[in-house]
Amino acid sequence: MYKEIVLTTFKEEFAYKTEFVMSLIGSMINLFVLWFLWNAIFSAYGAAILKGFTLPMMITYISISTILSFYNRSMIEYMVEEDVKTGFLSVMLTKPISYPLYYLFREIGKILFFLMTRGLIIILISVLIFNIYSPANPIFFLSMILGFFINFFMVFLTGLWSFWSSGSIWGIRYTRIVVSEILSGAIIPLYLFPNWLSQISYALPFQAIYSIPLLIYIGKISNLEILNSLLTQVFWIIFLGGLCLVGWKVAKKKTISQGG
Amino acid sequence: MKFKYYMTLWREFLKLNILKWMEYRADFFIGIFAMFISNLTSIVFFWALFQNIVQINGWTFWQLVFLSGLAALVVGIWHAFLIGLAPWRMERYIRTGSFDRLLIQPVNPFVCLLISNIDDDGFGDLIAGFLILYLGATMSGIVLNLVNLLLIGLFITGAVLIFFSITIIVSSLSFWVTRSGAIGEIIWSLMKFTDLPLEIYSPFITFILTFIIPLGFINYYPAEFFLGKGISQFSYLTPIIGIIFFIIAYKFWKFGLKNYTSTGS
Repeated sequence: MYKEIVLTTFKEEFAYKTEFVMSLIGSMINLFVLWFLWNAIFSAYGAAILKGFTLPMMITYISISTILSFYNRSMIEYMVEEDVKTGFLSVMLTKPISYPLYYLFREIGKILFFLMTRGLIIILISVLIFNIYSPANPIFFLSMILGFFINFFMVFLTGLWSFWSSGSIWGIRYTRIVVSEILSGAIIPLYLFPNWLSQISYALPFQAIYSIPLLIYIGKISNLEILNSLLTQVFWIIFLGGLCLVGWKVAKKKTISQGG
Repeated sequence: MKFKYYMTLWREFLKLNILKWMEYRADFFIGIFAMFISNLTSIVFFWALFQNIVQINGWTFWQLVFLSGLAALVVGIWHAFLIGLAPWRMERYIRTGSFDRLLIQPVNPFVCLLISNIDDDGFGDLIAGFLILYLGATMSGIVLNLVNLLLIGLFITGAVLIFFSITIIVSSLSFWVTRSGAIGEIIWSLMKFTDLPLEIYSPFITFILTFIIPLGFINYYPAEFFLGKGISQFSYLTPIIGIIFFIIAYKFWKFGLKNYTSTGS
């Protein structure tokens, strides 16, 4: 049954051809702007100034970050909002399928589709034009998957907001996107933050979605640090996953007792 | 007086909008807050970067803030007051048939779409734009005397016209194609180029952003002018290009509208 959900999302995604092209162009423009920027910076400053980052490391970092930032665009908040407002949620509750799992598999479908299409094109262009290198450590793939789950739980949690607010969710969603962009290391490595801000960022779950897999990919952190980072990711999965379960239970109860 | 009539209409629409905002007060503030902090992404990026370096191609942190501020204010003004003609909105009007209803009303549809849409979320952009521009200007040593303020106002007006015209051209595509909203996404992608001074890019990209899609005139050339970074023949052109571009865009809109009504589809 969950395979069907994944396949259905594939079909949905295929329908949006214009969006596909435009989003690809958007990602590439973004990447090119950053490429020019880091080239300008590294032509004036060396790795010593930039906390040990070299130009190839930085270019690889931003290219892979472009791939991972697809997590951030999740639409689940809108879908949950729609389910709550249209009453479709009550229909979903009568079905022999877990509501959170339904969205988890939809999201898996979307990300797989993305990786096989747009993601692949971005990687190819990055390899051909920017000369990015392959992962320094294959553990990256594991870390990337763990990051996916952390992101899913965070998005689902913000989506649950719809159960308590009659207003629209987009402001909340937008705030989540901006905060996670800034504090996750997605747009700039946390190493380059002043100490106090990087300490705050390390204490938040966002960096476990982007910074950890990215640093493993470019080979910036050593084996012991990798192990610590993976444990951090597992911690956030358990913590946020638990919050999701509790939040969902409360939300479901609220829906049922109020009759949707 | 047509103009007076439209101003009255605009005021009435504003009153209606205010009532709507007050009805959904939480949405109103969350929306403004979200748009406000979305403007801070590139500022925080530069700020973090400049913890490590002192300049990029001769541009200091505050000069880049000034550059971003110009673009942010332009987008803010557009978002708050001119969004009625945004590509994705046009796409929806035409698909749902609301546009056809507009055509039988005794107002110019172009003006009507503009004055009936005032977007409160745009205020977040607007406030952020003013703040970033003000900080960028004062911290990079631009004296905010009367002359400079008038000049900045003039350049901003021209820049708004340029940005507005680009959106009008994409929106006019709605008269022929159904997915103009998605095509409109490309405007936001291209605006990414305005984050940095044009000289950082390759000559080819600089050429395109100057002569084909004149985004360079929205903030780069005016910023160069105010920051005294070597005045080129392009420095003064923003207001003129704004007016020319707007005339072209409006003609294109008229042409599309004529095509739309005559096919009756």
